[in-house]
Amino acid sequence: MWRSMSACGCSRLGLLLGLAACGDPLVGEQYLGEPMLSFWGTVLVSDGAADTDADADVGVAVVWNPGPGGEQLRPEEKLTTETDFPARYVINLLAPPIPEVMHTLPDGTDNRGSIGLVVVYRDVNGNGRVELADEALLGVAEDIGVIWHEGPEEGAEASPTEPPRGYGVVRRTADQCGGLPPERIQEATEPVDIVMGDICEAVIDPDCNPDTSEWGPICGGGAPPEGPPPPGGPPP
Amino acid sequence: VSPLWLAAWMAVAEAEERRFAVVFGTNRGDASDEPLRYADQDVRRVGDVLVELGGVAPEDLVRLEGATADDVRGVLRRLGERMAASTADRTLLLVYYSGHADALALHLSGTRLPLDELKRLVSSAPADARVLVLDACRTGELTRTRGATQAQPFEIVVSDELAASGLAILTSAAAGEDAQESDRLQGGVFTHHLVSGMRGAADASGDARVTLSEAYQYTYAQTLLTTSDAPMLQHPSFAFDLTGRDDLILTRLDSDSHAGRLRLALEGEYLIFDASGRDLVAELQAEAGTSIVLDAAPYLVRWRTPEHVFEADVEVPDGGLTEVGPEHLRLLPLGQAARRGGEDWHRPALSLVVGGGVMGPVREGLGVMPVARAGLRLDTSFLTFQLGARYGRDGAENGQLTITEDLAGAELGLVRMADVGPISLGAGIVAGVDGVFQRFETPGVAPPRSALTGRLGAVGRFEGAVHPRVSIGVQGGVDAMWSPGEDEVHTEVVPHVALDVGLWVF
Repeated sequence: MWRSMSACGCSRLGLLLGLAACGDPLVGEQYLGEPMLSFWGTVLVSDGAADTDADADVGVAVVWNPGPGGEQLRPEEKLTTETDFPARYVINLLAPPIPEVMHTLPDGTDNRGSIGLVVVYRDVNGNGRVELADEALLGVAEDIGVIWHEGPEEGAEASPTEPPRGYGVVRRTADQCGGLPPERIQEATEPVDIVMGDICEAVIDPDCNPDTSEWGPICGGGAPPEGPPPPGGPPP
Repeated sequence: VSPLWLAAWMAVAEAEERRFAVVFGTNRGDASDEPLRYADQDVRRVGDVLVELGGVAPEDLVRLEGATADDVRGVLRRLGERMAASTADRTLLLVYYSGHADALALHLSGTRLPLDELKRLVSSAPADARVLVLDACRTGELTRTRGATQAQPFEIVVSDELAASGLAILTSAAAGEDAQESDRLQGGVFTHHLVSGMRGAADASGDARVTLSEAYQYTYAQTLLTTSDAPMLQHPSFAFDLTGRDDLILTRLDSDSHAGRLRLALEGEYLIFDASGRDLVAELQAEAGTSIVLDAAPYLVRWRTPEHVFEADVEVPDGGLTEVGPEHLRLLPLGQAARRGGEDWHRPALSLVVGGGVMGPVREGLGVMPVARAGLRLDTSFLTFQLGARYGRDGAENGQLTITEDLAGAELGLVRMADVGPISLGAGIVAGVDGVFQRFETPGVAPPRSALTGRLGAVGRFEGAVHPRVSIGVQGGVDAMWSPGEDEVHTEVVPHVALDVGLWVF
């Protein structure tokens, strides 16, 4: 009896117990949560963009504009990415931006949030994260950005003009200070192609205050240039 | 009744009487008979007790294992010649058979010896008295033969005396019944009890002599008891010639042999094993003070009451007397008693079990989970059933979020336990179902998850009794655990180990 149970009976019992497995998929220690924003598409290289070697260890990342008074772009750390360069990419943002990059958005309202740039970089140390001090940016999405709307505080009455709390993909304008607010174009349902252009500079003063605005090269590393930005905002 | 006759038969081992015996049998009957396992062993046991206690000299005992009909005819003829030549005042012939038979003949290794012929051979032997004992299927027919009466067993008392010159026939089963072998007894049921009775268990009068009537009454009662839960009851039968009035003494417990006596101080049911506890030497229902004769050797004595099982290790000295009383008997832990009490004891032991341990992660990286357990356990003679519940919690932190996982479930285990002294070892299988609940702390989005999982695994168990009602055990194993995954059922191999305390409630 023991032998027959161990052979046929156990396999049937195992099958039955396997069928008992139901419900939500369970996760392990590697689970990072559900993406708050997921977008994907193709990286297109325009004239003047840095060379992107197909064999290079290349990654995509989101870096946050530090806002008024901020000094450095802050890479988003809570994200996952997949790249199949030289073309395809996926970015999953898993958490809101850190408080240090929250500021009043330059959209003429008091809405707070963050604006981020999608960058392509050479992952020198292979850790899957962009480290601006050590790793060279190969390019910046020239017309696509990421925006986080803080939304109303919990319990506060929402403004009818205020976007809901959450992420969105926005189309950057060449003259950002003149073209804001950025147009929210994507809710993670369509592919977002990134044109990686030669705009290796980005405004790091989103309030467009000439007295406080600074320009800095973000491609290839290095320190931002001294002095005020040129009149009229960033170069086209 | 002649006083001379009576005195002669009450002194069976005295010089003027000579006893001859033929014990024969075979495991193999006709081609259509299912081979027996213990017939030859029964022959050896009966031969041994006849030599040790029955007054049969070794040279007057003929053992035939794997016998044929011609073997038996030849042996009885030659023994008849020796009996005729004997100068003893009296002679007794004992013939014992173990094997297959039908209503008409013994089945002997592919040959047949008609029952009428056997009875004629025995009856015509030049002995003053003859005893024929048949432990075989359907042999009850013989007790209905002409000139004999099938006795009502409990109406036979010591005063029903065997004729000194007559013939007595004991058969293991009534007409139409099958005699039965027992793997537990490692012999025929009838023969096992007959031998135990001849060794002293049947000495109802306490005079250190076991008469034919005593042996029959004891064997009848014990055989009936042993087969009471078997598919067919087995009623030994007894018939005798009515021409005399003496009762025959089969064995003398004070015989001068290489044996000792074991006195059982308490009334009850005893199982006597060899020192290893594996081979059953005797099983008897004893009155207080019953003595039985055993070979000088160490034994394990097991005494059963309706509720408990006790054991004692004893040494039976050559020619000496060993007593087993309350001070020698130790109460077995109830779980062990359920297993060691014997298949016919049928008293399971129920216990409450609580404990705790650890188990491997349900998913990679979640770490070792502390688990609390509680449940019921039922020890039976063959299997131990475990019905339990468990609860555990573990977690992990990966920089992005903190995972907290709770697990609660039920399980059923089937474990085969074996006892090695006070220690019990076991192996078996456990199946169960768990609910798993995962919660997350994160600045992002991570809804809680809940799932039902199934598991099946192998377990091993090590257990010791610290008290007849309390055990401490360690049980560990490996499970295959099935849980829902993103696309298909995920299988995880989950080791686990736990320490538990059991309290037997009955």
